[in-house]
Amino acid sequence: MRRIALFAALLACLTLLGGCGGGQEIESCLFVLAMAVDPAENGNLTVTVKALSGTQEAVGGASDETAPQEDGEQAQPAARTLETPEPGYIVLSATAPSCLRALSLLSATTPRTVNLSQLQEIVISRTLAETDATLSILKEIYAMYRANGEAIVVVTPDDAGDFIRRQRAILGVRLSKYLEVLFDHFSQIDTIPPDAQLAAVISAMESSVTDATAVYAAGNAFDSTLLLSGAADLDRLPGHLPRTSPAENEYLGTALFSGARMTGTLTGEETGILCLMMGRAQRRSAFIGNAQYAVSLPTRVKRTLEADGALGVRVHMNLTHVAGVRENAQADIAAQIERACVDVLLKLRAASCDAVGFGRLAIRRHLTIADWEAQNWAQDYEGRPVRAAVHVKVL
Amino acid sequence: MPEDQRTIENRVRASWRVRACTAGLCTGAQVFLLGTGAAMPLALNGAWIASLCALPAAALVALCGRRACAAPRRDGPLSRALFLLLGATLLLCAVFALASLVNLAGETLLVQARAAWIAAYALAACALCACFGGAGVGRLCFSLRWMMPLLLGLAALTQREARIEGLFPLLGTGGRPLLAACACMLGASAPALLLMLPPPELREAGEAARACPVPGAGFFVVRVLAGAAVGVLLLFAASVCITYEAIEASGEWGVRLHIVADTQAHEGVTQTLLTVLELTATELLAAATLSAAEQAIVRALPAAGRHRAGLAALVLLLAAALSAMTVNGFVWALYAAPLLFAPALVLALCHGRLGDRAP
Repeated sequence: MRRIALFAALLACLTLLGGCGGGQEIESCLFVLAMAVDPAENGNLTVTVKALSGTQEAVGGASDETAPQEDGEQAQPAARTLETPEPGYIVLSATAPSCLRALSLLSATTPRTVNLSQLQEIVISRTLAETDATLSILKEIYAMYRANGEAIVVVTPDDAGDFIRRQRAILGVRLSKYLEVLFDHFSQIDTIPPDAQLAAVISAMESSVTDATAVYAAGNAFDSTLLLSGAADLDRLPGHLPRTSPAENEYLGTALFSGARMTGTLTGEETGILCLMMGRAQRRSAFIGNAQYAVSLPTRVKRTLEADGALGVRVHMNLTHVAGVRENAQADIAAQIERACVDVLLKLRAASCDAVGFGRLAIRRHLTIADWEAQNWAQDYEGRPVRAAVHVKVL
Repeated sequence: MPEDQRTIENRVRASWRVRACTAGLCTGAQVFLLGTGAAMPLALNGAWIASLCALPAAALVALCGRRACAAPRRDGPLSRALFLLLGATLLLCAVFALASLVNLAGETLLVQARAAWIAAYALAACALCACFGGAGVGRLCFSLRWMMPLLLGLAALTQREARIEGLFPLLGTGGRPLLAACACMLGASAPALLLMLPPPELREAGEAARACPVPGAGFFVVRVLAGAAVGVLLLFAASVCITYEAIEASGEWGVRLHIVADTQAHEGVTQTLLTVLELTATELLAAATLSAAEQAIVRALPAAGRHRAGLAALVLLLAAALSAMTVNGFVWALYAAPLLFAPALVLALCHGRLGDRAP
């Protein structure tokens, strides 16, 4: 009986104490669902947020509310109409010398407190991602504003603010749910990298044993003239695809980082190979030639540092023929996947991005941190040969 | 053997079991607190290796504690001085536990609260627990003895996707810092000093109970080692779930205490449960050591037992220490905690003078 009472007391603490820290009324919070960071003039940053409006007026249509757009040290006197691109959501933007100050300005322009606990995506423009500022921006957002660590980090070659303005739910669900389902779907078909969550990206950027990857995304136009003939749709980057759905934005491929700086991209197809080499592949079917196969991995993908210093990956795959006409022999399929693996490894190496995590193996050979840091893995990685061994069994 | 005598022996053995479990829980909590507080800044991901040093030290103290309890009563000035030293050491353990609790609560559940208020509430809870006497605190610890293993289990469950690269490089920052961390971790054995004092309920028991034999050394050592091992495994889990760079970047003591709960995105119930368990274990460490400190002071100065004057004095000292740290920073508790091994060693060496059994 006494134990039950103690357990009940513990559960009461669990439910009651959780609200003690920084308790805020829901009505007083501006719940941000998507955030975009763009470079602005004079070294400033423009932060754009898409948030739940939380007012009946906004749900009913455009609002008459106005919010000034700040411009760093010199605030512009011109007021801008608060954007309501779709009912129930508002878009606010502010420009300031730092991300933190821009967020403070946003808080100041609304009667509610900016709350990033429900954040689903952070979009960074490619120009900004290619600078060293990325890590500090992400850390500021994560640490100071306690942003949702599960939010997906996205890099776009377009204007990031415009990207999230275009972003809207097309299934008649809430935008947050739509984004959640969208990222889940792309993860399951391996067209976006597996560790693109905010917390994971920050951790990888800070780590010396691995490098970060983020989702690559862009808007596709209906009248795109950049179509590349002969390549599969997944083997391109968004912005180079015909639009086949009502959504303008397409998430496809990987932005590769070396440290805090973006250094390259992978297409959707290459991202699938990366997921496979990381041992995080979720896709369970593959089209090879004109045949469809069900894919299973009977053993874990093995990453090795060979005796000659080569970076190696060993994959064992079982393919079960499902539909279509089998044209390729088992050995041909294995050689094809092997080539793709080597190409991706070479591309990663050229971008100085150890996304596969060979550094995790290299660090084990060192007893102290000083020894490990003396090796200078980032530089060492670029000079190593790559090797892939794929064993395929067609069932 | 008559039935009554067997019943008495069983009850006395149960009292010793409660004492041993309390010491085990407190040692485990101290290993975790000192590991995250003092060893991690020195050895980073090698803190768990440094914490292994606490195991033999705790076993030694537990062994000497058992011998002290079995030794005949001494009332000389040296014995009294040693009991005073024991009381002061246990009081310092309580100060360290409360300082840790303030840091942890300030980083997690009570982010916007003032440190002084958290310290006041924690001290009040600790004093209230101690008011019910050592037997009450001991039973509370015994009832919640699975709390630390539960904390470990939850941590393991939430870190099931963690990779082991956090363990490497195995020696962390290198030989010398690791040795310094090992030396710091010896201080984690101090709560095992609880075993130098017999269970308080035996004092009120009759002659037959006091004449019952003290259980063997293994009875105490196994329980203390089990508790300390849980603390070591918690530090191991903290190393597994993040890299050495992240530990280095975490900076604040409170953040390091929260590493096990915070590294994976599992906000909500699990994270809060982990934090509540950590806070409860820390509060129990403070309450148990405060209560034992009172017992030691009363043993040294019997007059302090009147109207709980000893407890009142200790609570005042505790309040003064916490007030001073609220002003000057709680990090002072971290500087003092590793030094606890020195009095623990002195007491272990002089355990023969700490006897309390009727000759």
